[in-house]
Amino acid sequence: MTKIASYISLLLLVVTLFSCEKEVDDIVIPYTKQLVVETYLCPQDSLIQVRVTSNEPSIGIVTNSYGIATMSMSNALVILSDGEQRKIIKFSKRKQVSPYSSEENYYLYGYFLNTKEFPIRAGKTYTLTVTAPDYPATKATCTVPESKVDKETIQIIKGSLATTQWHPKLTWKDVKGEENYYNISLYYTFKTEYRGPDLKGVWQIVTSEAGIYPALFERDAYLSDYGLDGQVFTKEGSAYYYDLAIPADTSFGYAVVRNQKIVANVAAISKEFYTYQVKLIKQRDSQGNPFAEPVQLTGNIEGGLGFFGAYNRTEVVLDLKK
Amino acid sequence: MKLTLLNLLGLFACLAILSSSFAQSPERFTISGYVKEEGSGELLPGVSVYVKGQTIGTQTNKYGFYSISFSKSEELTLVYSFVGYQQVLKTLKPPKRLELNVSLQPQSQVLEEVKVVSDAFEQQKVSETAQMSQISVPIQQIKSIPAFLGEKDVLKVLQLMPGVQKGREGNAGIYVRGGGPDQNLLILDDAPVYNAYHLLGFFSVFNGDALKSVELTKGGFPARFGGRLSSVIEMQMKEGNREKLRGEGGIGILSARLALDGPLTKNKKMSFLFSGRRMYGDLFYRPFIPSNQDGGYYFYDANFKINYDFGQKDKLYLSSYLGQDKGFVEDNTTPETTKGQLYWGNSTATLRWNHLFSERLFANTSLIYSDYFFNTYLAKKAYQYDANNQKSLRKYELDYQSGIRDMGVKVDIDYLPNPEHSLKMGFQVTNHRFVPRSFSTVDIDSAANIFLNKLSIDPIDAVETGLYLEDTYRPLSNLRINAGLRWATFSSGQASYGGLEPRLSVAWTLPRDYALKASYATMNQFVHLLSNTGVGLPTDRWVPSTASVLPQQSRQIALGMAKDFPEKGITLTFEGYYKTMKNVVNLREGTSSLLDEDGLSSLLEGEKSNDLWQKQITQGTSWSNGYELMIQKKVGRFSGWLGYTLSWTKQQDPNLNGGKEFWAHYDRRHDFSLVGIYKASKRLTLSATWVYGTGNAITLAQSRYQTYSNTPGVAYLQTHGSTAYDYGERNSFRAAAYHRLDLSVQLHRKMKKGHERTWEWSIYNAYGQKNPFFYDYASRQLPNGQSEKYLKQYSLFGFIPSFSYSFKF
Repeated sequence: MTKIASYISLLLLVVTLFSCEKEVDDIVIPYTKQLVVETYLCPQDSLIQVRVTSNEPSIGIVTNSYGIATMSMSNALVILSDGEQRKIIKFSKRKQVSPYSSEENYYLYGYFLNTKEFPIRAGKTYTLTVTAPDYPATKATCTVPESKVDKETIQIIKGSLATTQWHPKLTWKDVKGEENYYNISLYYTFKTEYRGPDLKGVWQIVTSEAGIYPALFERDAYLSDYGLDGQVFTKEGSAYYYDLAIPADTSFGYAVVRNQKIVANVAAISKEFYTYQVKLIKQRDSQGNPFAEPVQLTGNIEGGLGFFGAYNRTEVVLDLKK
Repeated sequence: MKLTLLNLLGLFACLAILSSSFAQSPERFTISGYVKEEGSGELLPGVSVYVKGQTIGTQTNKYGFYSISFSKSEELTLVYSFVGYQQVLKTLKPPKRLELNVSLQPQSQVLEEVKVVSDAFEQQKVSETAQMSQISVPIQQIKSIPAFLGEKDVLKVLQLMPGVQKGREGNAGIYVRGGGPDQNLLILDDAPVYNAYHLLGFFSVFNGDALKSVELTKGGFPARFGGRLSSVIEMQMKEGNREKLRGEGGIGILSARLALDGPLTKNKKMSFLFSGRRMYGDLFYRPFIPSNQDGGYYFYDANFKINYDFGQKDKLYLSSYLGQDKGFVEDNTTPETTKGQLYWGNSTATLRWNHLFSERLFANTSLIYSDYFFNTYLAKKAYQYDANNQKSLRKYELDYQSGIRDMGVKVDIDYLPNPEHSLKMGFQVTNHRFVPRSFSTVDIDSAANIFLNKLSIDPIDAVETGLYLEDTYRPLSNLRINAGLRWATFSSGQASYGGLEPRLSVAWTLPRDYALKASYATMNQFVHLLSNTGVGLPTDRWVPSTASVLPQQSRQIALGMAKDFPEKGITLTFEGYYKTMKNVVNLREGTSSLLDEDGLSSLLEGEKSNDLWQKQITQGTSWSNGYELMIQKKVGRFSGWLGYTLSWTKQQDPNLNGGKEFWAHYDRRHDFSLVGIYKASKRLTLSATWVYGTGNAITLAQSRYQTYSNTPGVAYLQTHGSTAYDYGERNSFRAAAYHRLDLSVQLHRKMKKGHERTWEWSIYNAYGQKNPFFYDYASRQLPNGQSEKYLKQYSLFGFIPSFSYSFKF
């Protein structure tokens, strides 16, 4: 596939040897300032996170270093309701601990609400309204999928272990006779412990850090049962395997890897959720191809951009020590 | 199939009834025969044959045959006239039956040998034919018009006609009356050509040296044409000179060509034609590539035709086309090696038998073969290193194929019962074999473990039939009606489709060479092209209609006016059309026509892949209306044309643009072309073309934002976002208008024995206009340290001079 593409690219390159470029000043590109709202509700999660950002014009001076608003704005009014109760979700920041290094700890800015205060229930419809000064008001609704995949049908197969990579496999059974869409995850988690003598020469665990390596590409995370109704799905992943050999001389301390697990989640999602995410992936894939028809995203935020989705997940853990 | 045979029987029953009704008409006198070119014996299609001072007339069919009937025998003068030829007059009193073969002398010879210098040649008047929306371009004009890199291109000349648009800069693909590039039926000697492009669509595969005639029909389709919605481009190869061996050839900066034709037997009953063309750049640089490496790119095409004249009643023709583009790379640096090829091409073959049952019943039977294939192959041996840095050799092979192959039979009958009626009837049965995609990779590691991935779609067989009957009827001396009916069917697997296609063209001739015309046509298209580029890349795939992919259908109505200025050799036509198309095939957003990601992931999932390509398709409606003006002068010292089109084309598809209607990518409000050829002297020909067109409708991102994927169970990964684009409405922007001037100077030199040399200098895009090829966003750093995004236009060809040399003997 990539070889074919590279052949075509080579031929196109020959053509573009003749080409020239210029800045366009005769096409006016309109810009409408809009809120970008993203949140995904889940009955099994303990936290509801709503991210509110702004879109940026496609041409003109870039207003921040990323060229795009990456951090949630703080002055929005975010209201979530389930038809019975209505809750304003407040802006706050939450410290996130990096699994890789404590120096990489960071703050996540957004609108957070604990599900203890506002439970998310399967089969229920939720409405989210977000307003902010100088932006058109937005409104979106979504329904949490009623059913989820039976845990008994989900299986993680440890898979082959190459020198530096795991190849775990995830299988689950599709429910026959319904149209199903899935958002799955598969990852390898571990804890690294550094053991060594402290200043007094007493041996102890110096640091302990959790690690997580995703095993699936984003494009493999969304599936539909179109043409595969009732069948067993299999998805093979690939994740870096982290191990440390104990050195021959351990007098200065050494590190060990513990709690190695493969964790899988199979989440039932709606068709709209699936379509939005797949289109997002396709939009990214077609970037830079001048012949590709651009992919228009079909979000469900009235008056804005982004997506309000919900999923109902089943988690399975394979402990690698067992 | 049974249905088709039944209909065939029905058709012949109708014919029998018609024949018997015609047979009851009074005694008739018939003159029939073939019209040929003087000096070569080449049969001439489209020659006007009419009675001087009367309104009785006909045209030779595409095999050069004519038949004309009279109800009484009296002395009359028959006029044979054809553009570019000296007219011939025959005065006679017709007997009951007369075979009269006539030879016409090419105008250029007349000019030189007879020294007749006049612009007032009699020619076929557009005001006197029932047909509308049809354009023919004399091959000589194609050879005189400036061409990109000196490569004379039939399709690019057709792009200069009103109602016909080009796609992108330099591309040979055509869009007719709001139709897509897949809706044109290109026929070379009755065989369809599925991919008509060399070099990524920059040149068409049709070599002017081998062609006798090119005719484009864009509306008012007679019932004999079917299978595509928007146009039929019919090309006829020359038969080959029956009198003497003749040759022509040339060399330009891109390719070299040679054509030979001549008699094969002393009795001049058998002749042949061969023409070949090859891009030659690789021949120069390949010798300098190290001996263990190779690589290059070239295309070639070859036409071959042989025919035998058994006499007045039977003629046999065998013609073939073969063309290929090939890119390849080879590296034999042992033990790591690479061998890769990318090649595609068409091959066609047609065996035709003309038989004259009587002076009024002519039949042609064709056996047709056409094959288009696209292959890519890569074999690689390379070292891989393990954790201990130990290397081992790994073999990798990739093979990808797609294509379409046709085998068919076609029978066409011309029946000319009396002066008022001219009937055409026939049928065509085609077996299509589609190979939408076959893809495999083999990966063998050093331990001989084989990892095989195969994504192969079973070839799909389909049968397409067409059965037609048409009559050109002249109830009054100034009224011509071409009415016809075509019954088209298609069956593939479980899917079976069929439909009646009514056709009607009416021409009402008014005094002073004016005519009013109207036409209606329904067309069905059962084969579809999956293309997300529209530029004729070899990766475009032909696929059949299936249970879920419905046939495309169009209905077109056209009204027009035609006016001849015979004293000046000028014709003027003005037409308006309205066309609706349903089930127009589009690729779903983000789909790649080559191998979509769905295909790859399904490959891993082990999904049955046979219907995957159907998931890439979405079907909607399209409608187009427009007005076309053409003023054409085909003969004389100064010739050329002016064409202008004003048109609107919109589309609606439930899966595109949120189901709302949108401008078609190739919607073009204004399209203007001006072509002039001036024969300054016997030695000098000057020509110029200027084109102007509204920019294509394009989609551009209006804003950007950050978006986040969801990973169930993992909050951390949600912080990793990516940029998404808001495109707004599909095709809501306009690319800059396209305009370009091309110039050409040809110097001719006549040598002894009639040999001729031509030197040509041409300039493509003489004022270096930067026309848009595509747009993209770019960013730059401002002096104050800020970053700015802006829209950039990429253009392909600026001012490009070229030179070519050609000869004739």
